[in-house]
Amino acid sequence: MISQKLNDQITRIGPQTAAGAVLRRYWQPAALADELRASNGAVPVNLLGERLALVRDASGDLVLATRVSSPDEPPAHYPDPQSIELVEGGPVYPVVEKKGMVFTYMGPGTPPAFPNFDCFRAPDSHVFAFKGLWECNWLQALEVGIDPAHASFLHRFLQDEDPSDGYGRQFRDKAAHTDMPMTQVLREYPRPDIEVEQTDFGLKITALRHMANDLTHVRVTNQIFPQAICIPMSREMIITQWHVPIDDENCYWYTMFTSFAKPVDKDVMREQRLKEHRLPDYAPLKSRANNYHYNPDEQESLTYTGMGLDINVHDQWAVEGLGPIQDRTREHLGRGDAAIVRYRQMLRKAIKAVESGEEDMLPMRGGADVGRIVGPLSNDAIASTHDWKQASFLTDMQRRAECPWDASV
Amino acid sequence: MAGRAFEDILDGYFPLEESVRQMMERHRFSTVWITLLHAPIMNLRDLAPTDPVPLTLPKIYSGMIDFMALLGSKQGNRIELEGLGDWFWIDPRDRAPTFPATIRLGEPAFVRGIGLHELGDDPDALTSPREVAVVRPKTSSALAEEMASATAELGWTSSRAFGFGRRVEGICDIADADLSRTLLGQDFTAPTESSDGSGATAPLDEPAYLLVNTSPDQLTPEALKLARRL
Repeated sequence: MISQKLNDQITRIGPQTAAGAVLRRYWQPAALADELRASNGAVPVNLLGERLALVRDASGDLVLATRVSSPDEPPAHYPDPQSIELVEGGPVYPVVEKKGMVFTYMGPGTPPAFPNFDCFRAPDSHVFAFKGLWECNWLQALEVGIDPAHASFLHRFLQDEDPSDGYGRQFRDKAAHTDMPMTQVLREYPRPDIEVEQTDFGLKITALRHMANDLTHVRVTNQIFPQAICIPMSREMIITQWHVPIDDENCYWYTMFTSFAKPVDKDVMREQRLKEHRLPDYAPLKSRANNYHYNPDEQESLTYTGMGLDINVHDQWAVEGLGPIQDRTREHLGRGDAAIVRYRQMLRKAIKAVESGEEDMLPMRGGADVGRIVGPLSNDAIASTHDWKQASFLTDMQRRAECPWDASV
Repeated sequence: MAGRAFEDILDGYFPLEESVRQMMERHRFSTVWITLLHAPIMNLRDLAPTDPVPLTLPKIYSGMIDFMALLGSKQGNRIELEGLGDWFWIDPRDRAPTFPATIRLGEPAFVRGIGLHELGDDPDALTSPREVAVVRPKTSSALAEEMASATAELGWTSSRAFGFGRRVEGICDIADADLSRTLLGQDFTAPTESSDGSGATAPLDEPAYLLVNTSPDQLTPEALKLARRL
């Protein structure tokens, strides 16, 4: 329950805003490499309240330049590339392409180095990138991702699928080394103990679901400052996901799916997701406009939401349902929201640091040796309750040891 | 002296003193030193401390604790809070030189601190072999030397110290405070030759300091990690 002014401070991201100034101190996903390939000219980009376009400068380098726009454009407006005109003398931002995503730096001074996260270290063959539009503020989109308890409710499946059909989908694998589907673990143990630990890159979030026979399910996820998460998708893959503001009331999720042992089947991954999204703006086909295809019969027998099997739609409904910008004057967090509480403290501390000209205090900036930041560990494990910490660590080490690329940490 | 460094989340929406009391109860602490950073607060006028939390927050009743160091002591069923802090209110009319302990947090707040299970008047607290010790300065000068000496007498190689160095009435604005003998996490290293504080001139009747062991070789890795984050 914070005042509107304090809510504005942590949610609004346009130029000259407090949170926007923090986000501008980090590389931001601007577009997919798929968009570059599909375009025969400039690629429109709507980012942090600015209307931009990816273009080649005079020396042939890719840059992000300000484009001419009209105030009545929709937030995710995607004009015909041939019609894009640049604003002469407007801001131009540097870009780099990494693993199927184009990143840009829109802040002052020298951009920070990229950390050596798995998604950046893995070969191109093992990373697939995609994005999707959500019609809500970036912060509520991020906060659902750092709440480990929500999966037991929002993504509750009343029946379990055959895990062998679960390739490329979240929560459809077996839990760790057991034959128990993840959907069963989440359903039967809905009240995890949550531990949150500060790291060099943000937060390590551990959810402990204490099961029968003195066993504990351990799920390790991460918040990567300022607005990304890294979570396990299956035993084979992890997800690194940025929640990138278009403006104050709309955002894109950009995800890198990183595979450890086998190359990613990009065609399958892309096809699965294009069935749920339209091009060129990557807007989801299920939305508030069509009530997210809500089906009460399905809700009775199959899913908690009645909105299909794609968990992205569940999250989309949950975060868009809070309104364009969540009204935190009516919010009541509990201690179970530990990761959200910790994250907001980090964000406010960063806001204060930027306002005080102490940018070196920001995570992964200043003198930090960012290149040494690896991982992060992100996995599901089932272990003896007394030994869960070590078991979780060893599970990750085993996966990394069997990996054909250098995933050592 | 049984005590340890710890991290926890203070509940939001209740009066601060009640949230601290419940946290102490959870850990079975009789005394705590905690630090709050960037914690939203709300000043709900005409709301008794025992009243339930309202559903919405009028915009002018809000503010933020940028920094606050609190010492909480259990007194029967309630606690006494004293501390120093830096806070602001959106509505400047709410400004006051002291921070009422009945102010409510606007959301749960992450805290780090040191908790003691017992805090007696034993002046021989330096003999504690634990992770935390209470040090009562013998002199009015050379505070740093005394802390370093105490670190050595405890058998530690390094420590981190916390204490206001004087009695604080309630929770006061740190900008108005005399910080000459206040320690808010300063580090001390044991001298190679232990000192007993000789050269001390006069005994000083003032509150104790809490020392937490940050020696790399004497704690569990978990305790060391917590102590170094304080």
